[in-house]
Amino acid sequence: MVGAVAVTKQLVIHPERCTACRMCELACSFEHEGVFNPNRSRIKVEIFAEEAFYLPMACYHCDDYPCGQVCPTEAIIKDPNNRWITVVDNKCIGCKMCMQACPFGVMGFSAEVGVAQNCDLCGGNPQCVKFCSPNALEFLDVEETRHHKRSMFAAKVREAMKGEAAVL
Amino acid sequence: MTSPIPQQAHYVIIGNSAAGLNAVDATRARDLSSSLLLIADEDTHAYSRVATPYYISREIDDSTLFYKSPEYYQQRRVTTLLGHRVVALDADNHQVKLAEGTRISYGKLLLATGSTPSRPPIQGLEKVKVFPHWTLAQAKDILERTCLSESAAVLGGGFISLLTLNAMKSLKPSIQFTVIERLPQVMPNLLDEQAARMLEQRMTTQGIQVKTGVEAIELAELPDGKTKVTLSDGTEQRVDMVVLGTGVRPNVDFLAGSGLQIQRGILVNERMETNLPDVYAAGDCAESFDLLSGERVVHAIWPTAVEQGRVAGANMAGGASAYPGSLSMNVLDIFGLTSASIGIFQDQAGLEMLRFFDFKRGIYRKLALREGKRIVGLIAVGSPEEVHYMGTIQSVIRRQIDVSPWKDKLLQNPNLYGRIVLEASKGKSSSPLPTV
Repeated sequence: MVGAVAVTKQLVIHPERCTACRMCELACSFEHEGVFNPNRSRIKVEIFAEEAFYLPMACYHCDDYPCGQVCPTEAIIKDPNNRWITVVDNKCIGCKMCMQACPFGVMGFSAEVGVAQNCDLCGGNPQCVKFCSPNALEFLDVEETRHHKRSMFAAKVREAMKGEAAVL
Repeated sequence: MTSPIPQQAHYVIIGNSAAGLNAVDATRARDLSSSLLLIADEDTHAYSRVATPYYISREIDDSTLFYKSPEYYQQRRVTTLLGHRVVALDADNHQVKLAEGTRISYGKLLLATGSTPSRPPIQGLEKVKVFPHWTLAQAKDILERTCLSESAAVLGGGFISLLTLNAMKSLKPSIQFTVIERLPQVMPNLLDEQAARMLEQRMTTQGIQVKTGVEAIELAELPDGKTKVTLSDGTEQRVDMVVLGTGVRPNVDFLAGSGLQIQRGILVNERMETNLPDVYAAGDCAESFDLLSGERVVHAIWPTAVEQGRVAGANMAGGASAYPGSLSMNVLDIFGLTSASIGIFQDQAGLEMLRFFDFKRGIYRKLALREGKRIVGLIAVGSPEEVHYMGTIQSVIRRQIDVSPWKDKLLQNPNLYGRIVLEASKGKSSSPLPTV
């Protein structure tokens, strides 16, 4: 496997599609905690009401994960295969340095268990995605994500070049 | 693996904690072939100093405390010399000298010797048994004595003192504690007066006696085995144990006469180089500079040691890594109150302070602004939720983003920080969000 790039999936967020219905939060808290409680969700919708801008936020599973680098007990690990970040509960001492280090503010804390808590992508079957009716959340192969990005960018270029003489 | 003592190594790292081990990783990421020798005076496998309070309260087991795998050194081709103290540096000959007299030659040397609890000038301090808390051995001592004690005086009301107290209290809730802090408030490096009052109140309601603006002037052992602590206000305490938590100082005494430039700590530049060739320093023993003020500073905190260790390790192996300067930051979650601070937050001339209180939810926030528009620091006290936005605000501070358009909303809605970073990133680099 040395040198091979593992196929991995990631959570893709489309803020422009989000309606702030917060079903993702309910799905998340029910999946993980068995209750419908947005406060205990690992995904949170940030709501900027005046501008009607809504942004669901959850762990980005960064490549250089600052949470794990600062962890004083190495309780935050990255899976070498799928590249996801996991908090190992019985190693976490609850010191919260990871929360302080996370540049996106998406490392959470479970007051019940006393450990840090991030989005674990429901082990590969994220419930938030399932219940997101406007499709603001998707769970895609990294390759697929890149393909989407490419075609979106190409569409923008095409739009910008409309009216100009065809080159080909 | 600890014998025989090698006579030389290309890389010699003194220190077996955050700075030293992160330097090992950063060095080995670039150079796996050259010899690497790690020397430490403690005779234990690497353990996490941050975790020792949780060891005292028996909340964790050894596998958490000893956070590196047993194969850690072997996997990185590190030769270890544990339980050996370096007593001198001979930079002219590129050598360090061990306590037993052996000399070891180095190609590159990293000083990551950390710090040690300071001993304040209290009469009788050398004659009685006191309990500092820094090493694992000391934590074990505290654990043992706590089980036998019914009362304890904690000298110093700083971070380590209160964490230790909290751990002892979890282990044995019946102990009567008295905290003695010389300054007018507890946690002077972490909290402002307001926040400290909130914490003191919590402590008091949990039966802890908090005495601020008072210091211990004399310690004496009594015939019944108790220790008498005489305070500057004329009162005295008779306790079963005395915890010494009056701060730490860099471990640099052995470097006197080596030619190294030392003020409080070993002076380093942004590459973590000292004034001597091929000698680097990182972590608690190093004096680098503050990210915001540019002033020389020793920030004896774990995240700083991690960062500096990485920079030093990379540069020792031929890299070109630069340290941006350190940003002080701390989180404390004790007595049911979470408090966090970052950067500069004490009232001072030239800084505008914005304050926010939510009495119902028990939240206090304070923002320090430079030129009325750039955040240089923050304190937040309340629930663990308050720590959430610390990372985002760190980006705002590090990049010194102009926050004036959001100024009136910042305190009420901390979620804005993410938005501010996002706005500032627009056009500059690609968005950090994996949006399609």
